[in-house]
Amino acid sequence: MVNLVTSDNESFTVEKAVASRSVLIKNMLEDVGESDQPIPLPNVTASVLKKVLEYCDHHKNEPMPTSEDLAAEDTRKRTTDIGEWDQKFIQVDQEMLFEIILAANYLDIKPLLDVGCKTVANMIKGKTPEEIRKLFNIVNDFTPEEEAQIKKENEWAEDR
Amino acid sequence: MWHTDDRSFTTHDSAHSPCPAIAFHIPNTDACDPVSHRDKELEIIAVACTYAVSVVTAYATSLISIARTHRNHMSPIYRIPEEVLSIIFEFTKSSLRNPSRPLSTKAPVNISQVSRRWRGVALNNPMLWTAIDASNAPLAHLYMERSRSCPLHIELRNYSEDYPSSDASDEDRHELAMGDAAYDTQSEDYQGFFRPLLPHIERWRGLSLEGLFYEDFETLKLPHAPNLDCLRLFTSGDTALSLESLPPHAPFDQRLPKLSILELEDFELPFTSSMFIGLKELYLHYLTYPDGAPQDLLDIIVACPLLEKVKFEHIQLGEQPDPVLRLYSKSILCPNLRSMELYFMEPSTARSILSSIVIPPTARLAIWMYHHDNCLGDILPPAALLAQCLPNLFAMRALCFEIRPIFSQIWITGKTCEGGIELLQLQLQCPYSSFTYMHTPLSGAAEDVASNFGRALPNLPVHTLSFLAVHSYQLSERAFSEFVGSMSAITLVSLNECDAPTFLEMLAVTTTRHLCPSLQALHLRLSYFRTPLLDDIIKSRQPQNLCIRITSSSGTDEYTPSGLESLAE
Repeated sequence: MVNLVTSDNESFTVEKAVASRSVLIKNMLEDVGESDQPIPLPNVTASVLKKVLEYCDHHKNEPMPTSEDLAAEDTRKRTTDIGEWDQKFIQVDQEMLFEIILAANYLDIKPLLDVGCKTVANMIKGKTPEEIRKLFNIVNDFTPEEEAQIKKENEWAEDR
Repeated sequence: MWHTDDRSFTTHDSAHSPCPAIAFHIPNTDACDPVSHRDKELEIIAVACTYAVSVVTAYATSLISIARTHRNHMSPIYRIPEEVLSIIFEFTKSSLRNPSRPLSTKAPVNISQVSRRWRGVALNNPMLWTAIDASNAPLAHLYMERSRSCPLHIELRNYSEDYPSSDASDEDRHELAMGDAAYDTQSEDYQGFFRPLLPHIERWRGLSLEGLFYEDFETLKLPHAPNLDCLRLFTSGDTALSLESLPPHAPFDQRLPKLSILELEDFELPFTSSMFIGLKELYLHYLTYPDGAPQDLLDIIVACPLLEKVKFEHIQLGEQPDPVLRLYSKSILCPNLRSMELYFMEPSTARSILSSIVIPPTARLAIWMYHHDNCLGDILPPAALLAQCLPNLFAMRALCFEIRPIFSQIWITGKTCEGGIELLQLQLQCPYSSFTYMHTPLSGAAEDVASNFGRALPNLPVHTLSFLAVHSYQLSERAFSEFVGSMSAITLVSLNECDAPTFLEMLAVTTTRHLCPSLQALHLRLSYFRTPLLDDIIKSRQPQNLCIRITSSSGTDEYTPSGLESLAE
């Protein structure tokens, strides 16, 4: 078993197979060897780690993506299909979604990072810039020069 | 205010303003009259004021822009680091696929116009700008610049109005419906589309063209694309193309690229074209070669020793081979083949191909065909060649027989194990009948396929045999027995959504019948049966070695489980 300690000082004891879905933790365990020492995760809160561990536990028996897999994925067209369980898992509010993405990035859990990124990508697809701003609470901060450039691009796009 | 010496000007009345006064002193060197001189000075001052206002405005707007940027950093999505945002943007690329949408809603244009940060990330990821199609063609020069040195994928396709509007699905775009009128080469500047792309031809990696007319080949002679890897050419609906033979180098001028992927639909590129050599993926749909023969298709396979995926669909050839003859004296080895799909091919052509090649045991074979009597026997290699040519069929351990009455189809799928990798997909299309649910032709076809299956594919080492939505009125007990009896290694029979108590009768051992001698499990799910039938099966076999699982099936009552338990004891 592996003991993980979150930024808000909460401890989680999990199977090694579950914790090792994180390449960061896996490497730490390999470096440290057999040890009862808790592993601090200063960038992850308890509520987020709980969610991340739920994902890791569900996928613990799946083969880890190899470097060849990752290289092959980069060369082929990225798709936004998400598995059924993963879709339900990632149905969280925006704040938690971004936290999960940040945690997956920090803990180096590529499949979870992809699920999070695909979910955000699916939210973006088919929307105008203004709709995207509204969705993610962003305001237009372009300078007049940038606005002019964008206006010109849009005129080119319509010039058919 | 003007000073009394008439030679200087201050911007403010310093006596009443806290701001220091700026004095202008413009000497009257041309000695014009004082009024004209003042008019000139006023003009200069007006220009200076306008300039000052514009500077202040620009400064103020830049301050507002900075303030808004700071404000955006408080939005949760701004916590995502730029490299992760870039990954998200790459996933949005598939929204390119919906051509009916305005460009302003499609990636990467929409994401590059959201905010300064998003634009910076989008413009710094050249991979986002590599796909050029008819909708973004007016921005081709921007795409060329922003894609830097990345390989380009150029697509001039047309799509129907009812193109799926959802972006969620990412299935192969080439299976989607296509219309007949999108990028209209009659009204569009067809050459103009390629003009900004030609200087970057060394970066072309994929080219997909649809809607070409015969005259386009007269004018469109693309120069050599040295790195083109994937070429897809689709129909124009132009009958002239099928009447006149295409040059083997179409749509290129002379020198041809060395392709890995070639897809042709209703575009009869001559078999002599060197583009058929050395391919890894080959997809041919709806082609008619009056002078062609199955030998030509086999010659292509021979010329592509690294072939991984091949699909032949509705290919009409003038010559048909003798169905019993192999066309090659030696088998054609296809060691890398992962998938072979033969859809609605002439049975003798399909049989010639399947009898002449050797595919790996892990390859997937999909055959879709119209049903006729003994259709499996007509299309599959003779029994003596079967194991040699199609060893993948003998790697199957799970087989499913399914009837889809709505589509008037019979499906047989074979996998490495239940839920495993698919190795065989047989789809038999029957003539549609409004009475399909009840009788022929679907039930006649099911009867024929099940009865002849063992002769076409003898001694398959299948362990798990499933039936899905097969009913007694569609398949007689005789056909069921012949089908099941052809696979002696079966240990599990599964009936799903089957109203077929007679099938269970056949599984009971009698003095004259002993199907599935190694049967260890019987699964009944959403199926109809009668408890006495199970009694017969259990009594006639070794009950301690037989596991029966019943799920949501009619025919059970509260006594069934206890009754079966007592039988087992």
